[in-house]
Amino acid sequence: MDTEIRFLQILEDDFLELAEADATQTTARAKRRRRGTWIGAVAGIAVLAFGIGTLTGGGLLGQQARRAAEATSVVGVGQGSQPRAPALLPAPQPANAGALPVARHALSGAGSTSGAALPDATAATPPLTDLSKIVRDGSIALTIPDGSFNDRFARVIAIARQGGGFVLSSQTQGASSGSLTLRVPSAAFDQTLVRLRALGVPTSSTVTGKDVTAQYVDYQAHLKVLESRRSVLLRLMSRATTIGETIAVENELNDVQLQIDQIEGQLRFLDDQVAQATIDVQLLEQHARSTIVAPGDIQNPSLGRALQRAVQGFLAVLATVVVGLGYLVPVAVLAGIVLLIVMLVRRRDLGAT
Amino acid sequence: MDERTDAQLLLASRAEPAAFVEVYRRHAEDLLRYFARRTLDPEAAAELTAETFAEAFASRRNYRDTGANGVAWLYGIARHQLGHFFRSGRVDAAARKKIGLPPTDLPLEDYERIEDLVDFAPIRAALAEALTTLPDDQREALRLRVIDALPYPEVADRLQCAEATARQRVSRGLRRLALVLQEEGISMTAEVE
Repeated sequence: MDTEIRFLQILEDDFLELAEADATQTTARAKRRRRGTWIGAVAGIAVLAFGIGTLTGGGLLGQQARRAAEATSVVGVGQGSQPRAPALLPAPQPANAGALPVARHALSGAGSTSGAALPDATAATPPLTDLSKIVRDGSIALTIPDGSFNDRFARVIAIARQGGGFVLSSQTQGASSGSLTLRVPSAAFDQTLVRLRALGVPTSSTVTGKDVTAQYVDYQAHLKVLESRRSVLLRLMSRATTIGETIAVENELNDVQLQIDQIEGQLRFLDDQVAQATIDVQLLEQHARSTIVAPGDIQNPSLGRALQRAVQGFLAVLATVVVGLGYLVPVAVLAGIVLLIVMLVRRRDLGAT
Repeated sequence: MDERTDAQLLLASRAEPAAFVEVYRRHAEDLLRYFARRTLDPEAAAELTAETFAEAFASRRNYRDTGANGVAWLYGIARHQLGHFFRSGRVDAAARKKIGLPPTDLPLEDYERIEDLVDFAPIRAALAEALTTLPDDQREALRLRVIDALPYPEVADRLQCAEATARQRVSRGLRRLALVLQEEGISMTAEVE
C-alpha cells in the first residue's frame, strides 16, 4: 500500500489476516452448506417418496392396511375365510406332483424291493378335492356392555358347545375382561364366528388358514412306500434260512415299522388340526377398553415381539419409500432432461451475445 | 495491480475476501483524510477509518451493484459513522468487535502525517475565532500547532510538557473545535467522492 501512515499499514495487515481467515471459513461454510443441501435434498426426496408410496398404497404399510381391511370384511359378512379358499385350493397340485419323486426316491432307496410298489403308490393317490388340508385359526376381540361379562362368558361357552366344540382354555382378569380359546369342528368354524360377533362390538378379528396339504400328501406317499417295504420284508422273513438272515431282516423290519408309526402319528395330528379349528375370543367390558390393546399383546408380551414389530415397521417404511421412488425416478429423469435443454439454450444465448 | 472496478471487487469479496483488501488499499488514505478534515482529530479519524472498513467487511455480502461506483457505498457507511460520532462524541467499535479486528493505538509519528492530510489554510480565520471557546491548555496547544504551524517537539517545549501530552491536548482541542465548527455550519472541505 502506497502510504506513509503506519496506522493504515497495520490496518491493512489486519484486514489481510481477516480475509485469509474468512476465506477458510467461507470454504468450510460452503462445504457444510453443500453437505446440508445434499442431506436436505435426500431427506426431502425420501419424505416425498414416502408420501407417494403411501398415497399409491404401495409398500408393506399399504399391504398391511389392505390385509386388515380384507380380514375385517371377511368376518364382517359372516363368511369366514371362504374367499381365501380358492387361493389355497390350487396348492395341492404341485405338492402332489412333488410327492411322486419323493415316493420313487424312497423306493429306489429300499434296494431289494420290487417295482410293483410304484403303481400302488400312484394309484392310491386320493382325488384332488379330498387333498385340501387346511388348518384354520381365528381370533376375535369384542367390546361388551358394562356388567355383562359373566353372561357373555357363559354364552361363548354355549356357542362352542352348540357348534360341537369345547373350551380348550380360559382366563379372566377381574370381572370385566377375559379370554377363551375354543376348539370347534372346522365345518362349524364360520358359523361359530358369526355367533360370537353377535355377542358385542368387534374391535378386531382375524382369520388365518394354513395349507398343510403338501405336508399331508408327502406323509401319505411315504407311508405307502414304507408299507410296501414292510410287506416285502415280511416275505423275505418267511424265506430266511439262517439265523443271521432272520436277524438282519427283523432289524430292518423294526426300523420300517418305527417309521410307519411315526408317520401315522403325524397324519393323525394333522387330521385333528384340520378337523378342529381354534378360535381365540377376547371379551372386554366398555370401561376396561383402555387397559387392553389386542389379544396377541396380552397373551405374549415380550421384548422379542416388540423388536420384531420394530423391524417390521422399519422395513414397512423402507418399502413404502422404495415404491414412492419408483414413481419419482421417471419424473426426475424428465425434469433433468428439461433442465438440461434450458441450460443449453441459455448458454447458447449467452454465447451469441 | 487488480484491474477490476470497486463494484466488481466488492461483489467478488463475498467468496474471495482478499478482494476486499484491494478496495481498502485504494481508498483507505482518502477515507482517513475525509474523516480527518471533518473531525480535525487524528485519533478519531483513524478509529473512524478502521470502523468504517470493518463495517464494510462485515456487511460486504449485502452490497448490491446499482450501477454507481462501489466507493459510494463505502462513503455511505462513512457518513453514517461520522454522524454517530458527532451525535455521541465517540467512535463506535461494534463492527471491529464483530469481525475480530484487533485494537491499534495510533503511532506517534502518524499524528503529524494525518494532520498533513488536512489543509487548514482555508479555515484559519474561522479556527482563530473558534479557539476562544476552548480551555486554555488546549487553546494554547492548538495555537502553536495549527496557527503557528510548529512541529510537536517545539509545541511540547513551549508548553513545558511531554510531547505525548502536547499531542493529546491538540487532539482533544481539534475534536472540540470540529464540533464547534460543525454547529456553526462551517465546512472544512468539499466531500471526497
